[in-house]
Amino acid sequence: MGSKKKKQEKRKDFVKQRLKVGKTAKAANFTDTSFKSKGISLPNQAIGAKSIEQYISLTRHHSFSTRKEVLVMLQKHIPNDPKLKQQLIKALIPMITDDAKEVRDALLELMKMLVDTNMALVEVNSNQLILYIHSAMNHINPSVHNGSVGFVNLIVDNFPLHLIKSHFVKTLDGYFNLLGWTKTNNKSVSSVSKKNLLTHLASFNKFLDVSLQESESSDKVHYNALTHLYTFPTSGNPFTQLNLFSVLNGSSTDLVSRKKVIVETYKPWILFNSKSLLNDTAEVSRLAQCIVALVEGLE
Amino acid sequence: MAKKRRVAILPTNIILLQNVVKRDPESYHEEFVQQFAHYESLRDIFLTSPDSSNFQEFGDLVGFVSAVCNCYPKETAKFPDDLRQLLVNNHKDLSPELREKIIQCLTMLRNKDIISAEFLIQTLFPLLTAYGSTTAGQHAKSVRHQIYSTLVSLLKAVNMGAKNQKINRSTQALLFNLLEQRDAQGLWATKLTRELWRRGIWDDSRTVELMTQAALHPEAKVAIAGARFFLGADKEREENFEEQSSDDDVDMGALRHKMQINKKTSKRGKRLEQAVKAVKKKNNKNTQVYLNFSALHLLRDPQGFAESLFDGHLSGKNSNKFDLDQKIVFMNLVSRLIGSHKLTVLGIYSFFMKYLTPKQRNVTQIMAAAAQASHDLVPPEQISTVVRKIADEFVSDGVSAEVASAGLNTIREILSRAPLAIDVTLLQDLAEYRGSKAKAVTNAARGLITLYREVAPEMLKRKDRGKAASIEMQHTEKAKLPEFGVQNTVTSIPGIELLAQWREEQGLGTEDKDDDWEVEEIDSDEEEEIEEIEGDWVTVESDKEYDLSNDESDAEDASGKNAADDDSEPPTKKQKLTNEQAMNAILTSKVLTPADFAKLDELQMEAGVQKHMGIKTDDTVDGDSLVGTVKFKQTKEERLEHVKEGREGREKFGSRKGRRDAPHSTTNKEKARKKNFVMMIHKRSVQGKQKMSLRDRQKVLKAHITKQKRKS
Repeated sequence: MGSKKKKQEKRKDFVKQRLKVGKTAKAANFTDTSFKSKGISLPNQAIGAKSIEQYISLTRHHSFSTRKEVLVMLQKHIPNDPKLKQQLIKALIPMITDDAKEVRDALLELMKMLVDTNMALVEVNSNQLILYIHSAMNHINPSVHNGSVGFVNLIVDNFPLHLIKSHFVKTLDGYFNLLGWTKTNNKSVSSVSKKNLLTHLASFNKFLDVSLQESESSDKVHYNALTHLYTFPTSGNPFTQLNLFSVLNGSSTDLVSRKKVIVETYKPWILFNSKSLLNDTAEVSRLAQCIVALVEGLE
Repeated sequence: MAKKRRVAILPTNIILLQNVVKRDPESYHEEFVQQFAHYESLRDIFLTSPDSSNFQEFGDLVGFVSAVCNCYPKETAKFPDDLRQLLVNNHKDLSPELREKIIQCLTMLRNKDIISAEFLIQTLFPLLTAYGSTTAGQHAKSVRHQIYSTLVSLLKAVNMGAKNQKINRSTQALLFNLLEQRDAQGLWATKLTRELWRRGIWDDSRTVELMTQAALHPEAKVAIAGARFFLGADKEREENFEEQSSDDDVDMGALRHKMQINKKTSKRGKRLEQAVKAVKKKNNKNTQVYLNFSALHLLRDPQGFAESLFDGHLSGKNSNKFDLDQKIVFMNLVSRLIGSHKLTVLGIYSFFMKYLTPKQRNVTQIMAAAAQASHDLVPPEQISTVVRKIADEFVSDGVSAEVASAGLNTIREILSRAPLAIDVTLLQDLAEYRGSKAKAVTNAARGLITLYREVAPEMLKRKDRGKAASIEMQHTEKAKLPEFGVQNTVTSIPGIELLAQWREEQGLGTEDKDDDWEVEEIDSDEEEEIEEIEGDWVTVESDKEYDLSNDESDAEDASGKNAADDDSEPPTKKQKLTNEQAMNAILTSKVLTPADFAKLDELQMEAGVQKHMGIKTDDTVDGDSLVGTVKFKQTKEERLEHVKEGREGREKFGSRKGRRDAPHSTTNKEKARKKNFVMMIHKRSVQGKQKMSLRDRQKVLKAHITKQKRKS
């Protein structure tokens, strides 16, 4: 049996191939590498139908385009579950210091949308948010610190109370840094471009306006001085100003103390720097005038 | 003005920024303030949510701030405290790289003298315990290593010139606290202390006290580490210094020679001067180093230490937690203590009995410890039980040669320290082993006999006493055995034997030299003084001579001989000169000069200092040497090894055919020789030979013969 089989196999090996005209014989070790496919799928980088958790984990992806796409995608699929939403916001906040401009822009869009829809949830996280914004304002990368203004604006427009109450001085310092102003009599280095200067100045103006003019809690029901102790806190960490656990970070809780801070330490430098901007373009000088008027009005 | 020096584009990179800030701190003040604010915000982020923050960036910023914070002392006043808080309170949350970075930064701050050494030590010490050896985790080890090396280098730097006792004390206090805890954390105290001792940074009795505490620690690891320190640390220290001194040896002789031969240039001259300076400095350093006391001699209460070691670790209930090797370490330490301080710990002799059997593992080390533990102030009954036990267990006809020799050697070591611990019959029995077949046993027995010829020859049998001892016994009328508790009172010029030995080594005879006398006459100012001294020694000498003749009858050191005997006695062996012999050798034949006295002082100082500091201790017994040299029959492999050893570096015998001394390609001659015969036959070089004339042929032949002769 075995020998017969062997003979057959042997015969097969030495069969001479008949060549046909116009057709080349294939090599014995030929491998067919052609393939038919309409698209290339890269499952690692694909953003398809996935759960929200997976999207959230993708916000830390190494490729900036993926991060951006995730953010764009998330705009359409904001979860309803509050737990997931909290998770999402936690993941989003550190992206304020992201290196890529595209990502930050997409993030700002998403945050705006979140603020529109879920204001309270973002406000609860405002402490963390403000910490990261400060970090971004002092960032060594110029594009990051210029981009931080958008986020400050977002807060100032929507829920400024926590920012101006607990982080007033730090935010002021951050603006000084953004505008390239110094607290010395030296003329500031004009490392800020025209376009940025305008946005920064506008934002600064708005910030000062909100923190120094608006009488706080005007829209709130106010029965007596202790009412707020018995209502729900509006910020995430309502007792920060008591300074129980961390070092004091220049909080100035009420309007009077804020005005005092400005008058005592910042007034001369703000005036000096903004007056030097009066001869600039029309829009800049208008903003500078506003600031000068606002600050000079204080005593 | 300063603004102009700023680079055109502001650096967007921390490292670049660090570079420019260091060069010009004033103009980059704003950038620094910005980065410092960034650091603060990152720190706050870290404090609120440690898990999600960006460790890499934070670490870079911490490095940056600590690198430049000497430029802005006002702004960064709180920075060191910040780092300390982070490290002490949040070290569990930090990533390993960041933790390492912060420790590095603190060290950097210390090097820039921004923080004090105490600050650094007090920051790092809690970490050392927090990441103690019990903490699992792959990074704990590297943290411990880093902190340990940081502490060592810090203490080294602090003690660089003069010793900084304040910091040493505070650190030692921390170590004492560590040792007071009843866990293995104390191991760090021992490690650190041992390393600092090795480097000669700590060398006072406080350090030794620290290690005493460690040795008495209830935790086995710590106790062993403490005991090992006492046994080995001094040797380690010596080795360390020897290494250091031999590191950069400049061969002065060679340099001088070169200066004589080579062209003399100012550069070469300077080099020689430098070398001379270096050598001098090194010599100075060495003399300083040599004044280190050994750890055993710095003990505050050796008796108490030895007793509590013995009670706590060896004989008590706790002894079960140590294995045999650890127990041996303790035995060794306790016996070293007893031997070098002549302490009385009576329990230890009966304790040894349990272990002294030939089947016991590592018995030689135990025997060495037993030998070390005996000295002349212990009651002889205590030691004689040990001697008897060793004699019963080890020395009999039934045991192998190495066992018997180990036993005999140990007995000799014990008896050389406490000669009274044996009775006459046992000694004479043991002396009989002189006739054993095994060489090791014979040697050991002979050693014992030689010992007693010196100490108490009358205890030996008559035939064993030897010529010198018998003659001596005949001359001294009634020789007494040494007694327990009777001190050897020396009545002569102290240290005279050193002088005698020195003279012998120098090859100086006992003849007077006039030069020595002339030395004093040069300083005529002190002539009177010297005269006084002269008067003194004359009287002393006559006194001593007088004493000597009296003492001779009751000779403890009964080896005293008369001057007449000295001549008749052949110099049997080179032995250490005793005081009395030296007296006889020198004082009877020579008048001491002031130069001799000066030399005497010097020698005495040298010997005394060395002995006192425990540098030259001859009271340790090496367990391995007790067995003696026992030769076994070799196996085939061993024999072959010996053969191969002999062949090393030697050329192989045999034909040199086909071998070349130097590698080269084949020569034309070789090629021609290999060529086919038919190809060569018609060449002129071949045909021409046949056509040569007879004369020519003869010429060639002669030339060939002479050539051959010359070759051989």
